[in-house]
Formats: sequence, structure tokens, C-alpha cells
Amino acid sequence: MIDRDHLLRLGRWISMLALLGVCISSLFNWTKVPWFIQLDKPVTGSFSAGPINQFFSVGQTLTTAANELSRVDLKIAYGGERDSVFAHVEVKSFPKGRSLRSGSVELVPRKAWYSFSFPRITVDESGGQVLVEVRSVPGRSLSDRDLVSVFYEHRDPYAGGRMYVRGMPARADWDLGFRMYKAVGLREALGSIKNWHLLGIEAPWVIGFGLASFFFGLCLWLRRCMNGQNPQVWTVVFVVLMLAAVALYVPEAIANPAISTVHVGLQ
Amino acid sequence: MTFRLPSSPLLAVITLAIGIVVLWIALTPFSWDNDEQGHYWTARDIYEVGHLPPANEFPTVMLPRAPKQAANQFRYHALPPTYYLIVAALFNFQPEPTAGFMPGALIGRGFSAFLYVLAVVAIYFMGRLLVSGDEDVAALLAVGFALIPQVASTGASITADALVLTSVSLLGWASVHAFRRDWDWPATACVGLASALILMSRPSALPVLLVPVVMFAGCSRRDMRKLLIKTIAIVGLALVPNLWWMIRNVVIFGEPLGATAHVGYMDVQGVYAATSEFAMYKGNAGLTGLLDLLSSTDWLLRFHTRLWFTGRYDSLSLFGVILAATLATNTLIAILFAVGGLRSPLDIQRPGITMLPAALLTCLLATAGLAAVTSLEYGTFVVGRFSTPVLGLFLTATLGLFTTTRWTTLGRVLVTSFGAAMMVGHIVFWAGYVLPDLVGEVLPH
Repeated sequence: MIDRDHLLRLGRWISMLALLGVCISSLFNWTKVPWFIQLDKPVTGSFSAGPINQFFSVGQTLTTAANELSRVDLKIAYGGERDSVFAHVEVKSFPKGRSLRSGSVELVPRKAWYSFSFPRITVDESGGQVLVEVRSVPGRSLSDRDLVSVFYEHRDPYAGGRMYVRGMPARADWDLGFRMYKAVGLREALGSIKNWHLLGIEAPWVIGFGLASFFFGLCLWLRRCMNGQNPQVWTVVFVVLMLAAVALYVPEAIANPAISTVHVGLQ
Repeated sequence: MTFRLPSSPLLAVITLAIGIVVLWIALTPFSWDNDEQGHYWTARDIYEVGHLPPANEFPTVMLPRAPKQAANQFRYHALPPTYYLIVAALFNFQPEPTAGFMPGALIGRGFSAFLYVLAVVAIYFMGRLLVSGDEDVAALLAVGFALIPQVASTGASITADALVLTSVSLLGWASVHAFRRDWDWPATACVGLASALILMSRPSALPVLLVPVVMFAGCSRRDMRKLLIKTIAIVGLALVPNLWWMIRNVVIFGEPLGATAHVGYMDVQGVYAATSEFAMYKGNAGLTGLLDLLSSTDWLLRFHTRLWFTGRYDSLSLFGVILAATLATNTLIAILFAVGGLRSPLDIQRPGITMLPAALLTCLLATAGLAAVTSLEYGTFVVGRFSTPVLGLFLTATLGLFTTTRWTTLGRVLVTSFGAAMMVGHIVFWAGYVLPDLVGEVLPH
């Protein structure tokens, strides 16, 4: 005879399994997301160059020798009042000037960093150096009143390239504020965290010990819960899975490596 | 032969805490957060000369120039010296650089880790007292506390804030213990010693002394003579171990705690003016006062982020809303306890315990207010970590007490939600912020 308790238990199991499926699938997707390893030192950008318009563009040459470039972040400010304003960003081979990747970005008031990711640019494609340029979008021109500017730095913080204004080299000690990255898999990304020197060992057994200790403690507690001494286990599992699902399914909002950055894809 | 796992919740809590802090220590680079450089070099200065800096070296020893090591990295020599003396003594066990790395860094972090585990254990015992022996609820509260990312980060860094973490937790436990024991002499002594630890840690921990005051005032119906003697005993126990360095501070700086001397000197030397946040708050000439700072700038958002997580990030986005909701729920419960809207059987036996959440909320607001005032007056970096130990104590005490009201089931759900939210928060923080941040460091190529 199926009574109310049976139905409740069935419902709980079904919801639990559904949530578990959601979490596992999102975790699986998460591990396949490209991770970015930063190349060279980032340049912050304290001074603004602009306003960008159809006659004024800025750019920066970047050396990519021996690396495959997959993402460049630039610091762009928009202080105008129009609802929809676009800037055009193009990555060209240098010095040949052949267009490799390009796209438009809708600017957000007050946002600073824009992350431009694109299919990787190999050294064969670029020849070892690229020019990243920000200019007005053809057909959707920027005017001076839009107050769009790109940030740069003095004192030559980046020796591998130089800043360009209106297609011409700017002062030799100026560089745009930028960060550049290459895309890697999760495994390579984790492998790049090298903190072992602090512990004076070259083996990751300490991480293993930490993880083992953490899970051992968790198992001790869950076992106690499962034995019926604590009926709250279902609430815990439910809330954990709910929050995990939310966290993993809103990666742009929560689990975002550059939370204050606007992400833009270039083709 | 069968192998049986022990089932003690306390063992589970300790094991979890050790696992968490070992992972943090192993993965986060030195000086990743919590101003670790400044605290490390303060202890190194003492280790190198074998004693505290003499009066004639002040104030320059607080911000030494070349050829001293790590020039322009300011030190905390004006603040209570106990933590730095212990760390300097521990440096003797790791005097040589390890694998080419700074000597003493690992042993210093190890000491902070010990303090962190001690703090978690104190929260467990406080929770157990509050929930009348329910070990599972106490364990969940302790695990939730241990998983607050800023708490774990503090426990994995060389920083006097680790001592704050322990002293605040121990004072929470001691106050509840004394309340349950009706302020008998051993329990009163525990409160006095825990208060001494508060004084030893950092001036930012001082507001939490309001907790034993409120709890003690709750039992004021009894013999006034006894109460007076016990008050003197608590104050004496708190002051005596600290008198030596307080007198030293009065002689050198004209004040016992050294906090004003520290902040004032850093301000004069332009340390704060060199930070980007100086321009946002102190440098913003349009700000008319504290309310203006909170309402017209993003100070509160940054403070909230750094209260839960670390000083490295400015926004928590959506997850910040979940944490803010946790804080708001606990604030509501604290207010309901304070106005008599919620009653606990513990309060009927001995009046006063229900004022504990409100007292802790006041401490939290006081530490947050201090951070806001220093941002406004001196343009200091928005610091959330000074308030984190009180936040942890506030959340655990409030939720624990709530489970003893007639809303027991809801209380248990909230306790489990707290533990779960912190667990997920920790994972999200590592996955979304810390790992990309660590991976983003420049690689040799």
C-alpha cells in the first residue's frame, strides 16, 4: 500500500537525483571551460587616451613569440549618456597589418576592464607580434561627447611593445593598460600553481594530506548523520546541492575569474 | 576484525579544520592576503635583534628605509607585541630559508593555523553550551565558522588577526560558560583570561569586550559586593598580563594601545595616500560624513566582500546577496531576542543570555564603524577582516540560541543552511576567485 510517507520519500529521492544530475553535468562542463594563464606582467593603466572617435584610435603592439594568444583585456571607460555605444577592437599581425580577429563591444558606463577572448592566434599567424587596436565602429561612429577613452601607462612598463595613437607610434615609454592570456585546460592551470617552495618540498603530498583530512572529517560527520543521530542530513544535502547548482549554473555572475570584467568574443 | 570509525563530532570538526587550513597554507603564496608582509617583518625585526625595538628607534622602525630589509614595508611595532614575540620565538625553529624561501614563514603560518583550529574548537564548545548539548548542531556551527573564507584565510597567514580570531572565540565560549555556571569563580577567571587575550591581540578586537559586560550585567540582581569583587577580578586578570607593554606604549607614544600612533604615523608618511582607495574616500572632498560615505560610495560593498572573503576582491556579485541575506536573517533574530519577541528556556533559567546576539551585533557594528571612520579620516584601505571574528561569533551564537526557542525546526534548518552556504561559498570562492587568481600569476615562458 502506497501511503503519504512513501510518496514524500519518492519525491525527495527524485528531486535529489535531479539536482545531483544538474550538479554533475555542470561540474563536467566547468572542467572543460578554458582557463587562462596570464602572459607577461599586466599593465595597470593610470592615464586616459581619448576620446576615441572616427579620427582617433589607440593601439598597442604585443609580443607573442612562443605563445598562443587567446585573450587580451583592455581598460576602457565610457562616460557618455547614449544608451547604446559600440567600440571596434581589432587584432592585426604586426607589422604586416593583416586582420586576424575583430569584433565590436557595447560599452557599459563606468566599467573599466573588457576581456576580449578569441580563437587562439598562433605564432605562425601573427609572426610573433600583434597590434591590438581600439577605434570607432564603421557605421556607428563614436563622437567626442561619448567620452570613450582607453587607459595607458607611463614609464615603459611593457618592454615587448609600444603604444600607437592614430595608427602612429606614441611616445616610446607609453603602453596601454592590458593583460594578455593563453587558454589552457584545467589540469595545466592547476599545475601552474607553484607554492611548494613555501613548504620546502617538491611533492604535492601536503595538498593530499589537506584534502584527506578535509574529507575524512566530512565522512565522520556524514556517517554520524546517516546513522540517524542527526536527521538534518537531508536538509544539508539539499541546500548544498541547491546552492551548488546555482553557483555552477550562473558562472558569469559568481564563479567568474574576472568578476568585474565585461567578456567579449572576437572572431 | 572490523575497523570502526570514531563518530565524535568534535573529532570531525578538528579534522575538517586541519584539512581546510593545510590546503590554504599550501596553496596561497606568501603575502597573498591579510597584510602578511607587514606582520612577518614585524616578527623578523624582533627575531633579528632578540628584543622589542627600543624607544629611540621609534617612529622610524615602523616604516624603515633602506638598507633595512623590505624597505617601505611598514611594521606593526606600535601595536600589542605578544603575537610578534611568540612568532619571533618560533622563528628559532626555522632559522634557515627553506628551499630558498624566507626563513620562518612556514612556522609562522603553522602558529596561525594552530590558533585557527583552537578558535573553531572554542566555537564548537560555545555552540554545545548554547544548544544544551546537541553535538551535531554545535558541530555544524563550528564547521560553518571554519568555512567562512576570511576566517580560513586568517588562519593560514602570519597575522596578529589569527590571535584576534582565537581570543574572540574563546571570549564567546568563556562568557557563555560563565553564564551557564552562574559566574562561579573558575568560570569568572576564564572570562578574565580570555579578556586578557583580547587585549593582547589587536585594538580592533576591543569592542567584543562588551559581550561579557552585557552577560555579567544580566546577573546583577545578586549580592552587589560579590559582583564588585568579581568585576575587579576580571579587570585585574585582563590587565595584569598586559600591563608591561601598555606602560611601554604610554612611555613611547603617550597612549596604551598604540593604535592611534600606528595609524597617525602611517598617515603622515603617506602610506595610505599611495593606495587607490585613498582617492575614493579620503580624497573625495565631496563627502560630508559617515552616512555620505556609506550612501554615495561603494564602501559598504567592498567592506561586505572583505568581511566574508578577502581584501583582494571588490565585489561578490550574486553570491554576495546570499551572504547579505544570511547576515540580515541573523540581525533580525538578534533584534527579536533583544526586544523579547523570541524567548529561550535558557533565558528563563538565568536571565540575560538572549542579549548575547544583540551585544555581538553591536560589536560587529562597532568594528565596522571603526573601519569606516578610518577610511574617511585617514583614507585607509577598506578593511573587513577586523570584523570577521565578531561576524563568525555573532552568526554561530545567534543561530545556536535560535534553535533553543520554540522555532526549533526552523532554527535547525537555518543552522544547516549556514553550514551548507559556507561550504558552497568556500568551493565557489576557490573555483571562481582564488584558483583563477593563482593561475593568473605570471608564468615563466
